[in-house]
Amino acid sequence: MNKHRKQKIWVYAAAMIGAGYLAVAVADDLLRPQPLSGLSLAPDQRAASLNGLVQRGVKTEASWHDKTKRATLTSDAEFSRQASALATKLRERRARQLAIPKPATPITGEQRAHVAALNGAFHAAGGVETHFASENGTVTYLAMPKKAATSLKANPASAAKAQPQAVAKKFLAENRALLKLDDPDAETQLTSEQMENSGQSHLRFQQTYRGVPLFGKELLVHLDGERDVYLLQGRYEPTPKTIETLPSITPEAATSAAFKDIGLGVYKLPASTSALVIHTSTRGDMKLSYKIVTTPRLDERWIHFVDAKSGAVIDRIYDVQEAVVAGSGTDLNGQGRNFTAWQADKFYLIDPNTPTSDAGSYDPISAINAGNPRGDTFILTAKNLDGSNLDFVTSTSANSWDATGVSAADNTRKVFDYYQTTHKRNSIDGKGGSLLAVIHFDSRLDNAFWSSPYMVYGDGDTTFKPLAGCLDVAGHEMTHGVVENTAGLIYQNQSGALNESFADIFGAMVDRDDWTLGEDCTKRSPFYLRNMANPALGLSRQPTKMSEYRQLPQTKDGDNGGVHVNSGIPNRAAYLIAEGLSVEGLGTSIRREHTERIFYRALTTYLTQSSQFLDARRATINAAKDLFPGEEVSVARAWDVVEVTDNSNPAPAPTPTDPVAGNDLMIYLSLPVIPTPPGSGFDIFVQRLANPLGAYNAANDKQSTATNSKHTRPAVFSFNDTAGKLLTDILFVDGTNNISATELDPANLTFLPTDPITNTGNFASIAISPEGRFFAYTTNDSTDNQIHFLDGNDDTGASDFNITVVPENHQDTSTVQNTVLYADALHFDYSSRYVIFDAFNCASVPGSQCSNPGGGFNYWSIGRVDLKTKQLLYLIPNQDPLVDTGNPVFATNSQSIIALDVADRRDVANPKYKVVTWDLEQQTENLIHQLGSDGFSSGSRPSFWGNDDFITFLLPDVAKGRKAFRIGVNNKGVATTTTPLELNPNAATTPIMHRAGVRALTGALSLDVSRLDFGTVAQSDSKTLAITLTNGGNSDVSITGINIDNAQAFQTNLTNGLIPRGTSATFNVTFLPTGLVGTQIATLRITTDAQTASVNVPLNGTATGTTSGGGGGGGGGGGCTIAIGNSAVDYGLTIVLLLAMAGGLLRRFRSARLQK
Amino acid sequence: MPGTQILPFAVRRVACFALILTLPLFPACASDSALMRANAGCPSIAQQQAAKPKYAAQALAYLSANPGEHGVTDPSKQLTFLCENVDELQQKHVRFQQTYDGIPVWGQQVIVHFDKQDQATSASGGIQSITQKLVTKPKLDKSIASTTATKAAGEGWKARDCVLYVYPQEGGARLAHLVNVSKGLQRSMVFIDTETGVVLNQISASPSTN
Repeated sequence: MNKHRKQKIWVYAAAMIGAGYLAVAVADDLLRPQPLSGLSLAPDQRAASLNGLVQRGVKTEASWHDKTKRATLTSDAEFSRQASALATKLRERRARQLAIPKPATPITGEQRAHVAALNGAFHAAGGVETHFASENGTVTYLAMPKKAATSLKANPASAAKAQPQAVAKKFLAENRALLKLDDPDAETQLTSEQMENSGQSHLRFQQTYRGVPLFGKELLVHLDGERDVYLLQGRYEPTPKTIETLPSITPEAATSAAFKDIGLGVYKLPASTSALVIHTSTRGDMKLSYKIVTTPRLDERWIHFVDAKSGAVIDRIYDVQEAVVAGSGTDLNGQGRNFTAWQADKFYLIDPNTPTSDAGSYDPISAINAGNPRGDTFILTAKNLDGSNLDFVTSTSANSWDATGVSAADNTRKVFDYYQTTHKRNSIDGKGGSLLAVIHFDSRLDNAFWSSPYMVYGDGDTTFKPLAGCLDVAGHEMTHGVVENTAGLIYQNQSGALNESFADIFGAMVDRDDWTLGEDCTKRSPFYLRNMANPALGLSRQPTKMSEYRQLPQTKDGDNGGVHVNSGIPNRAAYLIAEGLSVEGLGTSIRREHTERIFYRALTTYLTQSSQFLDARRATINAAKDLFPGEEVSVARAWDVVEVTDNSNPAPAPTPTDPVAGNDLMIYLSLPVIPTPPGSGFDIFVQRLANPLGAYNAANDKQSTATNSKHTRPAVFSFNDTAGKLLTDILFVDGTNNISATELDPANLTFLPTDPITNTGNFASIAISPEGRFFAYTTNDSTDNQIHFLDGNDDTGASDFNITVVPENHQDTSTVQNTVLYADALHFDYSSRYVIFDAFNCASVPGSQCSNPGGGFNYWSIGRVDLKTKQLLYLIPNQDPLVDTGNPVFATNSQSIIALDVADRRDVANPKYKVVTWDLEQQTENLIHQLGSDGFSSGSRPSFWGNDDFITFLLPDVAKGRKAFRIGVNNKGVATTTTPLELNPNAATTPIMHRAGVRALTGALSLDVSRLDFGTVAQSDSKTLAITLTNGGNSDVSITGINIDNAQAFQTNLTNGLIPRGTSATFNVTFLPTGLVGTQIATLRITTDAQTASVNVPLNGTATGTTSGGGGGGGGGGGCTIAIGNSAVDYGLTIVLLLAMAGGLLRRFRSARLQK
Repeated sequence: MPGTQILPFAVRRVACFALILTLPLFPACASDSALMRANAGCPSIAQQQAAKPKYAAQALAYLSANPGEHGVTDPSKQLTFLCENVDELQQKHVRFQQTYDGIPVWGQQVIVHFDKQDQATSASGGIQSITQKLVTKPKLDKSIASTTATKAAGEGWKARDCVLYVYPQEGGARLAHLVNVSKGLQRSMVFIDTETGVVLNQISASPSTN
């Protein structure tokens, strides 16, 4: 037991805080015969003030300031007057001393430089932590990276090192500039040295000046197992400048002055000692003084400082025997407990040495008074009120305490020890912060909680005994504090349930003889609160797996979204990992010792405020890989069992849709024979391809009205006009960087005049989705690396968005920086969900930076934007910058197959150019055609057509420059022919193939029931029915939301995800009427990405308060097909919206079309 | 001197000489610099300005190189460095807070993890895409927000402080005053929409056993 004496400047404190009260209180107390109680004036304090007058009117030899005065104190009034006068005197004296505050001493430049040097030296290990005393600029705390404690036996290297004292002295000498000590060796004296078995040692030095100790000024030097200094603590003064060290008066004269100050007659000499010291005032003034220690009574001690020159008393300390003492008592469970207490005027449930041992004189009560306790444990009481006022828990004996307080003290210490020992965590905040436990909170509260910085315990009512009696509850509450200081999990829904679960997990790790919570303080069956092994068996039934997850409202009544409900799921996962997998034959568990470390690392390292169960799965798996490689298998298995599964199971693959009927068109650019004016751009032609494809027929290849096109891919879509006539619109970027459009009748290849649509002059590349809803473009602004999206279904423009095309890959950031200069070719998939693009990258290389115009190394890559999630994905991972990929297009009927150009320059002398297809699901490449040596200079610009059974691309032609060719492919994008066949004898560039037809996408989900009737189910029981959802339509459907409006009674395990066309998904709905009576009805609402947004399934069941009614009911009505997706689009309307969204610029086009 | 400091706990001596710990009574919404809860032990963003992180740039580069991961599309715009640490395995972890024009986005953090060799290997956490343009100057006064918050919290609750957040929710993020309220030892957080004055959410800050 560290039982060092503590001291307190009582006289000054009393004067400062309320001397007036002092006098009144004393007088009042003396008027009343009853003993003083509680924290009213303590006996020692009375003695300090009015020593000897413990009984009014009794003449004794006991002392007052002098016998004459004492003899006059014969009345209450006179006593009161004297007491008041004394208090006033003390108050005035103190006020004088406090009048001029000591200014803060700045840290010197030399000290800063020294710290910087230390940081440099310890840079690799994280640097040093330094704190300075504001009043004199000395170092109070200097921590360096600590090496593992190693026993000297095990570490002969450290044994060979110098002795600790020499190491410490050398350290002090080396850091004298930082410490503000001229000659630490001469100015310090070793007073104690402790060596631990671990090899660590702790040395205490008294500061001296010319051999005279500076009272209360010490430095502590701590050495690690390798005998390197890892910590210095200090409360001391900079080397004094001019202090006389020869006294002018004798020790006897000083002692006499001290006695006189107390009022002791010399004839009644008490035990005393004297020593020459240097005394430092609160303002930092130093004086050579005699320190006189006087013990007039057994429980009373005075320390006086008498100026060794003038003989004046310059300071006095009334030592009321404040000390850390060994306490003991009986806890709420009838167990005897030993703990640390604090003795002052009486005994307090305060442990000043947990978490932090304090050197020198330290008074935790004063410290908490001032609001800055230095790492202590306080047990406080709310006195059964709301905690607006808190009192210390006290006792008149160190061995007799409030049992609730004993439990709180004992459990707090145990939880602190657990975190420190198992996780090397120093207190709740990780920084040795104080621990404050509040007991007797509120009246008959059946709960406990964490409310930073307090853990708060109710006394219990019908369900619990006082909750402070439960070790696991203490672990639970303090872990809430740890969570707040680490991941900060928000106390709502899944993150809140994780917060609860971590609190339970570590509660069960602290109190590790079972997997239940609250078993020592629960009064009702099952005589515990929660059961982590089987959460369904708790006081309130908890879910054990995700299919039982309960969606609850984010209200207090809804348990903040079920934080104490759904915590059952991760709780069980933790149990399974530690023991349950083995116990239940589900796998191999890894014991508590590994589980707790994995969960602690997950909490402190991987989780964040909004983490969900899936994040906890990933975090614990990662932590297991870090700490115990191989054991992540068990961790994953446990999460699988509770149905918190990762998407590593491949999601259903998207399937191709059905082809659209219609003519195939090739829209292509060709330079006018006589450019007018020169350089005015390309004309746009349309070639209709016969089916079956025959020889080239010039009659089917017409020039449109569109001229002056930029060399960029046009955007094309087809629609039925209001009269039901099929029309095809071609949008293109014209020579003014604006969008112009023409329209053709694909049946006879006649064109309307070309209309300019925009006038902003900033377009670079464009694409339009097949049904005309979405429009994507890039701009010609050289600093714009975004792709801009407009949603034609929202004419407010609020749904428009931009995606910044960030670099695909950063390599070594010290030498290479990547940036994307711009995106270019854009193309939508058939479903309008994705846009594929190519991006022009710049990688800075040594000597050539992208920040300089024309600098860096450029290459092309391809990416995809998901319009639903607004996420960017690069389709060829880790693409080598020596390989260019570009001009990507989707297959006409598939989201998985794309075609693109590739230029492989890895063999610099022999670059290879090719057109390929890429299967996004399989991540496989299929060669369509190997191009010649100039293959990529303008690209082959592939494009799918037919029923995705052809790919058109360009090949060089001596006479024409480039011409369009074709190759046959299958629906996986694999070439079915080898020789490219000419498609058109004319010069062509940037061809885009288009099937002139309107696609009706129908993701038709059908349910095998029209409603679910669960019949009668007992409150304590549940019933689960299965439903099958089938997508019989021609396109994939994603479930985007699932909601049950009476989640108290019904739950489902259906999750969001893709239901590919032609597939089925079976899921469960469970009726779980816990706590409910009577008929329960609800609606299961399944929201999808199809245009008809949702499916509703009525649910009903009847809850009885007795045993199960035997099932009854059944699976509901007969089959019912609900076509939820019918995206046959009214293109006329869509084009109106599309055009409206471009802020009036596209409106001219719209007006022209509307007039039709 | 005791009594002159506003600290988490202050002690008063009263006439009867009982030592009483008294919770401070903050004026309503006194300060935006008030404690940022759940900051994972990191200093607040305001306190971080002087910090010179060692791994933050590399962490941002990692996020840039893995676009879309954890919702991050534009790391330097979306994220503000919070803190970094080296763990017992010599792995490094750099924590970022999502911010929008310097305002923290509630609950959205990303941690980038480095291996022993200082290579960024993974990230955890996530942020929310904020596509709409938010006005970042609150229309609603803090005192009105605090009144609304205390009313929402119930009888006897008092506002302690107020912090401006971007509050992400379905249908678009909102600018919100987070009003920390307390009643005795119980704490709660109330989010008030700075435009409409409505309560967006209330979250208990006193996690309990039961």
